[in-house]
Amino acid sequence: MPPGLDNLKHLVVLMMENRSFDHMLGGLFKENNAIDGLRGDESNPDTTGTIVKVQPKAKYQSQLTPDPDHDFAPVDQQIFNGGDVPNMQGFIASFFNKQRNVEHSRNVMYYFAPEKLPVLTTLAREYAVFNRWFASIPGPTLCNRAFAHYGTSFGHVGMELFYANQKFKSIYDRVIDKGKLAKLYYFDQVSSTLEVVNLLQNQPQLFATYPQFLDDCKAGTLPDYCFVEPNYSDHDGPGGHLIASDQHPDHHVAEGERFIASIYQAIRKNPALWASTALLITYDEHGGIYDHVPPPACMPDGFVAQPSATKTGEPFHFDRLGVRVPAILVSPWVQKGTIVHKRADGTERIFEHASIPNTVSKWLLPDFNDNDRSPREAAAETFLDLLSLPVMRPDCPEFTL
Amino acid sequence: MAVTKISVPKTPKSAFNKNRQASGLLLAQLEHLETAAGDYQPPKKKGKKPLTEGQVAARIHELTRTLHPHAAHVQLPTERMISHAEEPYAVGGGATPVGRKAPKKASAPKRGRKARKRG
Repeated sequence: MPPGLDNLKHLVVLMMENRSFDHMLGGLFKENNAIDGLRGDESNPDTTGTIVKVQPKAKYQSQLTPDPDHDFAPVDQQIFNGGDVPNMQGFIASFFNKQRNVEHSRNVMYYFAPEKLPVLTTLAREYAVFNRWFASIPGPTLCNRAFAHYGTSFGHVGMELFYANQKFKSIYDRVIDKGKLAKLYYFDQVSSTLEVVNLLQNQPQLFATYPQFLDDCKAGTLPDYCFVEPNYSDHDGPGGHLIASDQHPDHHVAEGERFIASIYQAIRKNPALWASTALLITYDEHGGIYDHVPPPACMPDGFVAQPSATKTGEPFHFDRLGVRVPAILVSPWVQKGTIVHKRADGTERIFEHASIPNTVSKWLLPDFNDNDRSPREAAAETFLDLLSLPVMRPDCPEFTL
Repeated sequence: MAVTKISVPKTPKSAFNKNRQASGLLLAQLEHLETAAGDYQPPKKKGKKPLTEGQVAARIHELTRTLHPHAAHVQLPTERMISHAEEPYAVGGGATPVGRKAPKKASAPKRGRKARKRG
């Protein structure tokens, strides 16, 4: 076993909101063409037929309001644009429907110049960035986040509440059932937790808040596995305003950068914790923002969403992934500048949010029965092999907040 | 070996806007919490202003305190806490947390359910 994996004691997952890979990291292609970002000639037609190319003009705030659609049917339009083959040509047309303003609809083609995102781009350069990490469903937040917690959304493609008393246990239940420790850290009680409200209701002992995360990092008492949620709303706190850090449009992207850096630094500054922790940073879905890589087909998870739920006139068999999102694995045991794309035989390594519970299960619960989780999760790619260095890196960067 | 230190810019205060219209995500979160707390009522759609982010956050706070009372007794996050996540401390616990104040007793947010809109 590689020493990094041998030393691994904690896996931390931070899931942000609603940004595509190309929007956040596409600009890195120009400095490293192994990163599957933007060449500059990718485009979409607008509703007048004008071809609109991608441009590095993304702003931190005010550009994507009203929020681009990302329910199942609009995402279907973004990916297929009315055709049978995914061509990623319907993003502007979909966003046009929100405001019927041609100029404004082009904003979904904008991406960030790398220097505007010093945290995310530094982590991508320094650790492992995934060229093929996709949302689990071409749809909105909650069903996608469900794949990170349960390895499936139990047949749902929307925002409804549906996770109580289902056939597959959450990854937290599974870990705890085996005598290990798992926790969900939400930001505070005003921001609270998303979609796992049934767990909050029935197993509140699973939950803690961001200040507790910082304390647990200081004390070296992080659980084996934990999931961190950013601040989902602008609200007042004891020391003044607390700006939302989830990066969901129209929340300020720079505050999300600061939150990511604070999570990284909390781990980084405890030497023992830093040596024994891997941090995965990813996004739940693309939020209606352009990405150029067509989502691939995938293992169906055994459920079917009916046309009344998809609103496309067709059922969905959970046999295609959603739009690509940023994903970065951070650890001093990861080779600097790793770009996760293909295996030695040339086949692509394709990740999605079900990769999270599968990775945790393979690592902490090696005897876990595949019949007790979804086929999608059991087939999902895992990522701890990336902790491959024979010795720990001494040169990992730090952030000053 | 020298470690690179990267400065992360502060977010401008003007980014804060709790009066923006609540997103579909926040409204769905609120609905789920109300359902879990046994306090859900179908939305009344006509003639009501959309809820603001601040209004929804206040209600989420109220419901979360009901569902997760443990967290009412822990420190509340502050902007200063985020800014000082990188500061050094003694390894092995026992360090004094930075920028922590005694948690204030939160006032009960006013009730008021208005039109719901998904997005």
